[in-house]
Amino acid sequence: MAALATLALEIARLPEIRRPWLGLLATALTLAATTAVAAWFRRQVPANRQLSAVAILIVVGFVAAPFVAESGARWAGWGGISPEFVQLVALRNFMLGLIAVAAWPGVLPLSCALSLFLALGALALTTHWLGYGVALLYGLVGIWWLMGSSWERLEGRFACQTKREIPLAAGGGLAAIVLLGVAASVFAWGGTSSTHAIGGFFWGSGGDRWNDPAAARGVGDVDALVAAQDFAASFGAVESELFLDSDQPTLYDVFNDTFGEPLAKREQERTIGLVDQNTQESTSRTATTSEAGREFSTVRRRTQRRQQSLANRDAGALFYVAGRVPLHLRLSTFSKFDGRDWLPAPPTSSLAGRDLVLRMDNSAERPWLEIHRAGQSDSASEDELHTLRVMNLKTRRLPTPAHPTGVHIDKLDRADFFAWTADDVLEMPGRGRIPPLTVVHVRSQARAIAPGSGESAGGVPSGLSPQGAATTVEESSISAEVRALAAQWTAGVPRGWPQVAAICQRLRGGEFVVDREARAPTDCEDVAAHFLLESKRGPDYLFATSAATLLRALGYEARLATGFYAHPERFDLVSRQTKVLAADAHCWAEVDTVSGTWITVDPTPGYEVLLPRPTFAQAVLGALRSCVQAVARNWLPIVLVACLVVVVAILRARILDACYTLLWLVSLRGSPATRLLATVRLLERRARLAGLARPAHATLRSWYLPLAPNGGASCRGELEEFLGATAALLYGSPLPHALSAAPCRQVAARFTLTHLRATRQRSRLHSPEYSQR
Amino acid sequence: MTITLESIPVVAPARQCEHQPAIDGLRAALNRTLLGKEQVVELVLACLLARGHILFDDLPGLGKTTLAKALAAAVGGRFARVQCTPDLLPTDITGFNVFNAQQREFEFQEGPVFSDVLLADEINRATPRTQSALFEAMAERQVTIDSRTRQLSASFFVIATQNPVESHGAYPLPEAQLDRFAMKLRIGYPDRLSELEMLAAHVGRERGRDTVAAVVNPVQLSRLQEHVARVAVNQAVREYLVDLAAATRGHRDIALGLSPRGVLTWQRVAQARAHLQGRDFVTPDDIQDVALPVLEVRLRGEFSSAVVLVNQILESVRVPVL
Repeated sequence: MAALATLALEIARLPEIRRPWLGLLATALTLAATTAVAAWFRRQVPANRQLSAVAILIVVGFVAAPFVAESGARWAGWGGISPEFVQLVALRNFMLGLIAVAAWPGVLPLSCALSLFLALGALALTTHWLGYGVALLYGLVGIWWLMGSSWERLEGRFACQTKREIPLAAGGGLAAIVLLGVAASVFAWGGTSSTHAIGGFFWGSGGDRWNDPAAARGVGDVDALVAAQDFAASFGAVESELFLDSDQPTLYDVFNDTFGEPLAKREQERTIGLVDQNTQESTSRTATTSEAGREFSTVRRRTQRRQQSLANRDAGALFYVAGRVPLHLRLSTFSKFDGRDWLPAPPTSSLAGRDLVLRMDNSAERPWLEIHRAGQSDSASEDELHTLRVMNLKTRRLPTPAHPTGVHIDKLDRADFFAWTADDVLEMPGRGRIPPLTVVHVRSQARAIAPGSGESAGGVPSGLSPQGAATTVEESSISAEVRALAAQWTAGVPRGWPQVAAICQRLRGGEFVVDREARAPTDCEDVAAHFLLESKRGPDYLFATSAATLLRALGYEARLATGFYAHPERFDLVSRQTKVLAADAHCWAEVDTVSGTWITVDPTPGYEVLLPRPTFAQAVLGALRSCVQAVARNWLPIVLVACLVVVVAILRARILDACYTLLWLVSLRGSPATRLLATVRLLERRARLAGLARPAHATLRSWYLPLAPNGGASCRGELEEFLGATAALLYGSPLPHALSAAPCRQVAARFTLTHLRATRQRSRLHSPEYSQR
Repeated sequence: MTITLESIPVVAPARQCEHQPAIDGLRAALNRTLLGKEQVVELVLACLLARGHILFDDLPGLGKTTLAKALAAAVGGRFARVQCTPDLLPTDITGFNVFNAQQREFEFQEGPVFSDVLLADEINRATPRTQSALFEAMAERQVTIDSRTRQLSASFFVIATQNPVESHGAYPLPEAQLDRFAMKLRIGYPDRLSELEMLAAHVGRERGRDTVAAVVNPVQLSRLQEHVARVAVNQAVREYLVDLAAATRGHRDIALGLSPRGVLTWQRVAQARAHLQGRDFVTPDDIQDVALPVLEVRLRGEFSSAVVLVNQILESVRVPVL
């Protein structure tokens, strides 16, 4: 029952912890410790009855271990697990600790009772069908156990007659319980103090106004969707509800808040007598823009972060993403770059709606907007499905992955609800914003280049579009230094995706540092050159701009894309969705292919591109490849350690025997009693190493006398003398005479590990009965 | 590791004490009488030195009575034999008052219990009423007749035999009676060599003339028994014994576990066994060596093999070593 309860807890717990292997390892170690402690304790109990303090210490140690481990993990920065799981793991350890001291009478039934509570706790937290199955099995086994343990009493207690009377004790107890319940209810509803106290029981989840960062559920779970008091949409993002309005900041404000407001260059002329300078630039005025996505300046000024009050929690989510992450969600693209500012592609550009068809498919149960474009794979198995629950996103553009193939919003069954913008983004025309609580289902294809290798994946066309095919490139904006740098970084690399990967790898390689506070100088005319050659630090838009510039210098079509990055670290293990905050506003680069599809390329360190879901074979091959690479990198230490492990494994018995013999030699200098006991210990250890460990119920004489080497009567006599002296020491009066070290030495010399191993081998060959001993 | 009668080691004593000649004489006399049964003789001697009574449970003709008679002769006391039958009365064992017409008073006629060694042959053929007549004699070495208690010999020793095959007209001994025996022994068939030696020894010998000379007298035996009772039992060994007793009480196949009287008997027999081995302290080996005959006589339950059961009990308890 304990095993089933532990299994149920693992099923409930593992999907919700960040490092499941670590959790499994901890559980395996706990079970191993339980087994070892139980074996040790079982040996101790018959010899020593005064073990109650030890048993209590063992159980307390088991219970305290998860709290200590959790504190250690958090201190080490490995993150934590939800407090209710820490409590359940402590309960599990309590149960296992009782099992470990089960040789102590009367603790096993308590352990069984604890397993019931553990199974109930796991059942309450699990969301997996396997968890329900294990709980059902636990119930069956529990009923069977109860029947088995109570059968004799059931059998012997069938009433032969009945007598009706009022059970005074039980009735009184029931009345007392009811009264206490009523009093507790009145106390709870009568004032706030008691409710606060109740909230404290859900520690770490916000019930007592303190929330644990790792808490996954509880009364203070306000981060999950919306704030209930301040926002009418407290019911969450569900498809059946009405669209509501919101006064939250716009997308444009988000970028400005994150990266600072753009600087507008204003030329000012002044005339000064007798001085030959006549023009000076000023950057004193900040520009205001009323429409999101019109332009993106790479020269910005620092802004002071708005101070938040201490009572504030994390910023609210702009939207939630259900589906695989990391995910780049595009909201706008910029094709034209003059060295300082990015501008979107003009509406007359050939990009606008290039080979794109928007068609509403109402044939299925739900209406889907089908997006067809050239280069799109028709294989349905490649499709990724994401669900976006929009909270506060004040833009009419739909954040989508780079290659959307379909969009579904409930009740929208006409294609003219959607439009494709000139800068390659899907929007809802005629609408000021996407209504809050809209649930958007997006079907897309994951296409990316594998990091490092430059291999295309997910149906990425092998050819890259040559420069000038689609975008407006300002040749003059790319300096010679940048061109030279691009050529230097890609020297010897074949053209195409390998060069793109080489650029990204170089930018992500550690030479360049992500610094969201770093800014280009206000008078800088070539931001990319300044970043690449001088500062080498800056926010993500400088990485993206530099990458796009380098790729353009190499003759590829590249552009800047802005939007959001659904970060895997924000993935909530309970709700299975990723929160996207304003801080997740992100910029990256995109590279055009000959087929007209733009491939996401993220040169910023710490940001990953969603790779297509690998097949099983690919996953296995990838794992194997990683292993081989790791081995190849560290072959010398691995070979040395492996050789050492093999040698130690082969000679472990000999090594241990040598250590034990050394200890025995040291103890030979002690008293006769010390010598005898040390020799017995040596004998026992050697027998254990040889696989002839003396069973706990066998006496020294009955076990070791038949194992004596065939050395004649003298050999047997020596052993008899030794065993007799040992028996006198252990069970008789003090040693009858001063025993010299000679018998001990003779016994140790005759009962060698080699002899015991040979004896075991012979007993296996000739006497199966003996080997069973 | 399986404890059987044959696995009990017969080791010559390493230490000498003042009683060793008597012990050696008893051992030699019994071994001469019962050829090839050294283990049985060792246990019989242990039982004798532990002041315990012994029950032989075996087939007819295996030497039960011969051994009993030889033992009685060797200890040099009065020997009495009762052939138990269903019509045997309690007074046939304990004795009764007879009116002496000449002296005009009742005088007590002693029964067979007023001896040093009593052989109750085929004890399970006596009725329970007659069997119970031995209760007081075996436990307290006294009998009460007509409200008068009479003491028996200090070395009073009962050797009972029973035939396990014939159940018709037999009355199984009650648990209370069995608990008063120290051990139950099976003699078993002799091996080939012993049987040949036996045949050769009886050629030309007149039947009934193979008597055994007395080795000790009852006073010496009593002193020897007192000496054996002083053999040391270490605290760890006592705890081992108590754990074993607890194991018999918790075993699922045993309905009636070991009684405290049984534990005391086990300790006494182990002390005697230790003394026979030449030691003045008891080791777990002694406890294990006498476990089968001591437990077999008093454990009741649903088990097919006493050997398997006793081994299960021994294997469930850890031997105190280090």
